[in-house]
Amino acid sequence: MRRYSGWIAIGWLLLVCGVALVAYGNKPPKQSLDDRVRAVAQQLRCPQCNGESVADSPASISTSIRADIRRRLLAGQSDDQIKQYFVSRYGDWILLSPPQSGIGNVAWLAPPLLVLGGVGLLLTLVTDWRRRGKGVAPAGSEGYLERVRAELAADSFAE
Amino acid sequence: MRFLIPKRALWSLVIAVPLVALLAFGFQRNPDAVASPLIDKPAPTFQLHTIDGRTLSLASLRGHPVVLNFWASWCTACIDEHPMLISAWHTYQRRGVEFVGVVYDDTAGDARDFLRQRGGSWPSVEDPGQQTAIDYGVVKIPETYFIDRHGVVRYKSSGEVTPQILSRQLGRMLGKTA
Amino acid sequence: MISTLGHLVTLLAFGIAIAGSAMSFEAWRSGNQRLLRQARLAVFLVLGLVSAAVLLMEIALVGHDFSVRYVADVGSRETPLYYTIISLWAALEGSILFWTFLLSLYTGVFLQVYRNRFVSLQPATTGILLAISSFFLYVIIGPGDPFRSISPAPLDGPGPNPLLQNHWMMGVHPVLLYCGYVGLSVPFALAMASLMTGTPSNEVLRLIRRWALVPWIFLSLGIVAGMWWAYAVLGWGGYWSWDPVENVSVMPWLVTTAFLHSLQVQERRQMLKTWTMSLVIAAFVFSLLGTFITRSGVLESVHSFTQSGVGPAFLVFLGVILTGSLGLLLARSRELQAPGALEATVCRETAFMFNNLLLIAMTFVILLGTLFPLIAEALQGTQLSVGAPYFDHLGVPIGVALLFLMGVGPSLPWGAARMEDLQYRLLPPVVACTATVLFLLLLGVRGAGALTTFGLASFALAVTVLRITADIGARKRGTHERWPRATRRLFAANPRRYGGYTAHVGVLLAVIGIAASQTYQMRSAATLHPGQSMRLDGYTMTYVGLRPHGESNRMVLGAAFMVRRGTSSLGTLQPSVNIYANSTQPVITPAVREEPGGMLTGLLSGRNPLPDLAPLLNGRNPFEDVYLVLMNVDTGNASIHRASRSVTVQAYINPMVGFIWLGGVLLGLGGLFALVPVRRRRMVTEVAPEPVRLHAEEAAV
Repeated sequence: MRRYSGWIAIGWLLLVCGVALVAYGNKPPKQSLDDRVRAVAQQLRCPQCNGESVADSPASISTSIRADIRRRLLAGQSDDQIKQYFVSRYGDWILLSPPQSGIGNVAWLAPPLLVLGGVGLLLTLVTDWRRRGKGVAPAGSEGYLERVRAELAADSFAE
Repeated sequence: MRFLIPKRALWSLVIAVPLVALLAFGFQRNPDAVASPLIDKPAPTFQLHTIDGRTLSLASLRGHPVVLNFWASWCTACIDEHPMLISAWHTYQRRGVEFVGVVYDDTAGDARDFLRQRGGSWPSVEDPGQQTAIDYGVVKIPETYFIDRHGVVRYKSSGEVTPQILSRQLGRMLGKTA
Repeated sequence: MISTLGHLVTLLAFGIAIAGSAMSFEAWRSGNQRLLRQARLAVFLVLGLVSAAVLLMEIALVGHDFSVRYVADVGSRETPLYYTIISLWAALEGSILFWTFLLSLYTGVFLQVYRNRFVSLQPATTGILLAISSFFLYVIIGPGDPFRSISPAPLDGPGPNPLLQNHWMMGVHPVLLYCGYVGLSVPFALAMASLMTGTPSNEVLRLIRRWALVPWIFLSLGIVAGMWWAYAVLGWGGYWSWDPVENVSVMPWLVTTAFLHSLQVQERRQMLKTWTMSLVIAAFVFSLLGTFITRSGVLESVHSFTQSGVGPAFLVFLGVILTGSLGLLLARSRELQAPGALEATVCRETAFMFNNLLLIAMTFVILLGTLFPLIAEALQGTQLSVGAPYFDHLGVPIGVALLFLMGVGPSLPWGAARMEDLQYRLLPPVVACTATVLFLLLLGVRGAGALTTFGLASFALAVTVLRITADIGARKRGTHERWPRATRRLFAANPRRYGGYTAHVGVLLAVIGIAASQTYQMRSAATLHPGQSMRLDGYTMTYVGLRPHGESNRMVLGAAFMVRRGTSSLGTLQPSVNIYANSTQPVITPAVREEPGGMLTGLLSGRNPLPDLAPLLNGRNPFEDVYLVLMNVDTGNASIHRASRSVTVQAYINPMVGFIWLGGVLLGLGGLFALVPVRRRRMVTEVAPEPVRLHAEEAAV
């Protein structure tokens, strides 16, 4: 029992190190202009389409907006400035994610709160059930797996 | 088999009523009518070529209320609203209102053919790179922006413009400074 | 003529459905068997009449009878026969007729299969299903009448929306989704009936599970088929745009998936009854919402082709269903409450509960995101959009957590886990996971999100494969069978478990495909004259020239490209711009060189220091798609000879997209396999394991 837990710990450690390494090594050395245009365009909705982003839409207005973003990036504007410009013309509607302020907070906060609340509720319930289950002799479950395997295996004898 | 409905069953309304109300609200709105943040702000300026090859700038129309209509020959709603624009143009041209069309995602040739067939001799400008459409935040054509004498956007109409909108908005803009 | 006949048939069907429904409920109240028999007759009469109505509509469509309003709206003499036939669901009224037909079919099949079983449930189930049919038939004879006549009849119609006649998939994907949506009414009716007659037993639960699994399979296939349609038709290089209509198709799938898991806890522990039942209700409500949102145009979307007056009727129905079913559930909640008990904190039961929590959280994110523009506008008058960035931000963490649970869950036993067992089961997957991540890192794959996904997916895959092989090994040792026979017998003895595992493998493959294609897609655009080429990721695309040709309903402006990789030719791709007679907006159709299946090289090609495997495979890289979209054809100067015009093309290299389609197929197959009935035998794995009692029973045997 002990020797396995060591292995598991090492395994997880390796994994965590690996992921951390990647996350670190992932810092893009230099983003190309195309990538930057796309990053902004993905945040904007194509005005005349339905739900598609400016980055993905083949509509001509999206092509024009991408060209406009490119010009603005070349002129030295930041991503936020560019987004702000589009908001000043189309309203918050142009952004594909609701703003993290005002009513937009509801959209951003409700799901995490639901998950947290759900986890809390579930943990309370499980503790409760666990307390009630204590009487059901956990010792009886020992060997259960073996019996499952044996029954699965012995299944064909009955035929 | 029968059982009385206990009071707690009424809690189902807590979910049902808001959802139904929300969807019912959804029926009453036009998803293409996006409010413009430009209302009561200075209209974005432009200097563009008309489809007849002249140059037109918004600044040169300062002092006149302007009806700025984004349209294209391929857009069916634009075909439907065109007679309304023509009759409004006849009425308000005399009172100093300027009409300007901005051709959206269309060729000058097709736009000229459209006007030749259907009438309407106010200037229409080409919009290379659709910069003006972006500047005004055009969502889905036809869209009509009402700009007052001082170059301030007063109203945006999404979809086909109606005679009621035209007369109310133009009346407001003409009345204010008259 | 057809109008009159259609009205007659549907009116009759409506009357019979109402009467049958009333008789069923009376039979439920009084226990009168004769009434029930008559109600059953009503079911088959309605099925016959609705089939006749569908047949009449098809005759009208194929015969171009433009005196029928619906035909005049969606039909056209130029539309090819196939698209004329499937234009039954090209617009709202026809879709509702089709919905009703599928519902009557489900009802009929259900009653035929179970004519002698579950007798106590039958009256109420029949009543509810007929009541749902009655509503749809009311829409058909009332606000959404497909047989309304038009006079004078036009000589020709506009034909279906171009997007609906651009790809043969339009005959498949909507049908699959509708079969899924409609099918969910059967488990709903069963759940309601079991609540009306008492509390659901394990036997009834298994029945509900079977009838929930059928629509679940259809939904799985329908969703993946929809992704494939979007990929092959919409031409933006992707397959999922978080469009409202896509979203609403996932919600019933997620909820049904949650149900398929939570039900196992209820079967074994008699816990979570209210929860499980509410999932069945939610699945049906989401399917109604899906139909409603797809067809009403209440939220703008690629699919909302129609604005309609059917909406209010639908809303009332939705409200009645929601209030009635939840009310019934709440009324019964006291009886459903059962004291739960668990032997351990770490066990399959808790894993399933967390799985349910995450699946519901995912559903909630999608529901909230889809409805949020409406909520914001209703409450505050602000217009907002919710799209991919939002769903990615909130959905991906939940998806990753689910992926983790997909690995942990199957390795946990029911009841209590023994630590040695757990370590024995988890160590190899952990090693597999670490090794995969390190291996990919060494190969030069970057991107923390994608690597985490690949690591967790390989972890879950290893768990699943190890579970299966361990079971086969145990059986071999026990029976001394050879492994093919042992595998076959084992699978046949427990189709639910191994069907489930197969579906898991399908999901994992799809997840790998999604992560790879989202992270490592390469794209480039170019404007080319004939003879010029563009290069992307080792591929060379040479523009040959325009290949326009006319078809009866459209003009296809294709541009031919020779695709090469290194020295070997990969053939010609011909993306096109299709111009339909009935629409001014051209439809862009991409050309895809699909390479289904595959493993690692697609992910790595062009980005890794290792030698490229493609030359060894005759230039074919089996793991990535070459995807070309014709963005623009130069029409500027008419005097230029057509052949020398330039085109603007957008090229994508999409790695491992084939994994998603493969995963979808496995998902469906797994579901189908889980449907296979098994001759029941007393097994610990099937019966609620109350370990101590079992000991006693075994001793008795």
